[in-house]
Amino acid sequence: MPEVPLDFIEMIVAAFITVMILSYVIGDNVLFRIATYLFIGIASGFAGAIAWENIVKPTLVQPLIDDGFTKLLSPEGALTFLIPWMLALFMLFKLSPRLSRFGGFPVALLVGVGAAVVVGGSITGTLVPQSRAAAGMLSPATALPAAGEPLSIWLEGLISALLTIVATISVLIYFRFSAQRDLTGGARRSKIAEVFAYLGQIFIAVTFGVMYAGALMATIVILAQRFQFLHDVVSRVVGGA
Amino acid sequence: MKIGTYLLWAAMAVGTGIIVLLGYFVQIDQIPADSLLGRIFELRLLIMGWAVLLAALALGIGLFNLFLVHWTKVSEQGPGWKYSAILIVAFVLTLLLGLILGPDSRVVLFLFNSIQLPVEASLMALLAITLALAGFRLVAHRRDLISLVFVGTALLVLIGSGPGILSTEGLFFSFFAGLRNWLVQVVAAGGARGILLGVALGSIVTGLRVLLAVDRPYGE
Repeated sequence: MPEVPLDFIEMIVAAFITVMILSYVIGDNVLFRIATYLFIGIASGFAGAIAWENIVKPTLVQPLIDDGFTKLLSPEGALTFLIPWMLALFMLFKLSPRLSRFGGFPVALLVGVGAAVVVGGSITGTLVPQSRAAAGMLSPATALPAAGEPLSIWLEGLISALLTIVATISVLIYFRFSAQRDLTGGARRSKIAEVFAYLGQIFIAVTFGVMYAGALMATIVILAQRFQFLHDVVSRVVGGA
Repeated sequence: MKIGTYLLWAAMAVGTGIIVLLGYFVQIDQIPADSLLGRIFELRLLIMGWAVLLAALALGIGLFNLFLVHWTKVSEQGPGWKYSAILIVAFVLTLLLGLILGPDSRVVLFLFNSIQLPVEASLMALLAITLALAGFRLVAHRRDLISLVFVGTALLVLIGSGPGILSTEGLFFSFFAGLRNWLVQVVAAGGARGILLGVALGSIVTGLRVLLAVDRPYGE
């Protein structure tokens, strides 16, 4: 009996799974549900295995295997080994409804670090670079015409820069950071702010329209690739290649 | 006792948060390693390591909860219990194989390549149909200026991105291609920057509320 290569089986299973998922086009059905539940099970198991192999085992288990309990006696061992074990134990208290309040301690650490990463990341990764880029559009070096630059090109660039900045500011105004609340709880703004907020709404619609078109084009390419894959599988099975 | 515990948790969140946050704004390599500040920043790396470990354990608790929910559904034979049984078998099998053979083993990669990858790609492919349907529904049910701008922009970008709808040669296509570039690089770029800045400001405010212990999502 000839041996079937593993990649061939992999391809056949992948083709069946693809058909099961694409069957959703005709409506929610058993095949689609089986495929999605299978996917959730495998993805969860895979995530658990990765977390164990890359984080939990090297931090909690491997030092114990390598050095035994002697490492616990050193001050360095207490920081790198004893505290993580204690935090892990406290975290596991979350599993018991009776003891779950003790699990708040490691969760507090996680929340504190998470909040700091969010604040730090937002400031250094978005707020500062994006503000600098917006301000840079109207700096004298870019806003003034360069030597020998045609007036129409310079004007086009300046109008584009101004429009970009108006779009950014009006979207920010629409987000209502500075609006006061009226008696009904709605936002109370000046007439100018109202106009800019409405303009911001239009700019958001344009931005989402561009994003939508981009997402649609990308997913159409993926859909075409899936059909190409199915075509290749059928060709290989029928052709015996 | 309860107030004491709450204060301890708040102090833990604020203290660790501030140490980690300072690392973003202080040039650590300029600080002598044996100074007090140097030791605090050394502690920052340790705290980050602990947070990563706790996130992994939180994932483990979440997976255990997922298992329990579906196990209960199977044992009570509730609606859709057969699907839950499939999920449990797939989850336990993958987890055990991953723990015993390692996530990089041929068997686990077989499961990944033959099931997880095609499901993800096919769900993305389905998104094309869902997005197109959603676009049509928007036009059919909500005919205001904002919807019109949204759909109009999407159509212009699709036409200008060709090939397909228009031939890529000729004045007509180059007009739409230019219009698409202008929409993407000027109008949408400005709007996207506004959205990004808005999201960043919102995240900073939310994060600062946690760091100042105004919000305490870790419990009272």
